[in-house]
Amino acid sequence: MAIKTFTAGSVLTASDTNTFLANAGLVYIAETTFSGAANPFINGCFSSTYQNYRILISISPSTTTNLRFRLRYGTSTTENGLVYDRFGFSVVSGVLTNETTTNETSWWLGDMYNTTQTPLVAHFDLFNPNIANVHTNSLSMTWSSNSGRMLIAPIRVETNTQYTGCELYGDSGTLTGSMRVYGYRQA
Amino acid sequence: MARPRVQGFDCYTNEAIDREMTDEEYAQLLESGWTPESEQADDASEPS
Repeated sequence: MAIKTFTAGSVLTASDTNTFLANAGLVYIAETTFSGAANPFINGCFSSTYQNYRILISISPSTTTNLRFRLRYGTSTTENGLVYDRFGFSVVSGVLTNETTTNETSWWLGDMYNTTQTPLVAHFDLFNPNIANVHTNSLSMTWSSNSGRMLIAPIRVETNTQYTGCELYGDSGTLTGSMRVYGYRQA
Repeated sequence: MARPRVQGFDCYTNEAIDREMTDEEYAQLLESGWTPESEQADDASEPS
């Protein structure tokens, strides 16, 4: 939506106020908070309203395990094909590890340990998830405060699918935490 | 370990979902390679 310019004497209506409050630069879309879930999800958060999104995650697991992220299409169908390519590296105590790998069935976000005080936190921008015939890409950063691992791992999803949602899961055990999705406002 | 719950949010209905996992869903979860619990990993890097 275009920005409206108010001039001296303009009347600020309730409608205008609500419209612009709901259309800040980063617009809240949805969230899920969970406890004891194997694969928490948000369906329908990606649409033609926004091209790009910001996702925030904070998670503690019931057991030491890896956290993974996958996209969904249609109403709630999981994308679990060999289509996730990961690039980048991780750092622990100053030591870099190449984390590049291709053709995976999910996007590894890092390792988690069973401590609520030291969750795994991640934020990433997701580009074009709902744009037809354009690969979904992401720029991400994950911090596992228990292991001290920082993971910087851009992702490429090699499909032309229009994705509509997303999910998290651990290799084992259950998850407790939150996932929130925001849209980057556009004209 | 208790069976995991199905938890999430559906933007189509604008409703939070929190329910028990069905037998079919649990079977699919196990088939995907998920395990109820695991040993403490010595190596925190991604397992193969």
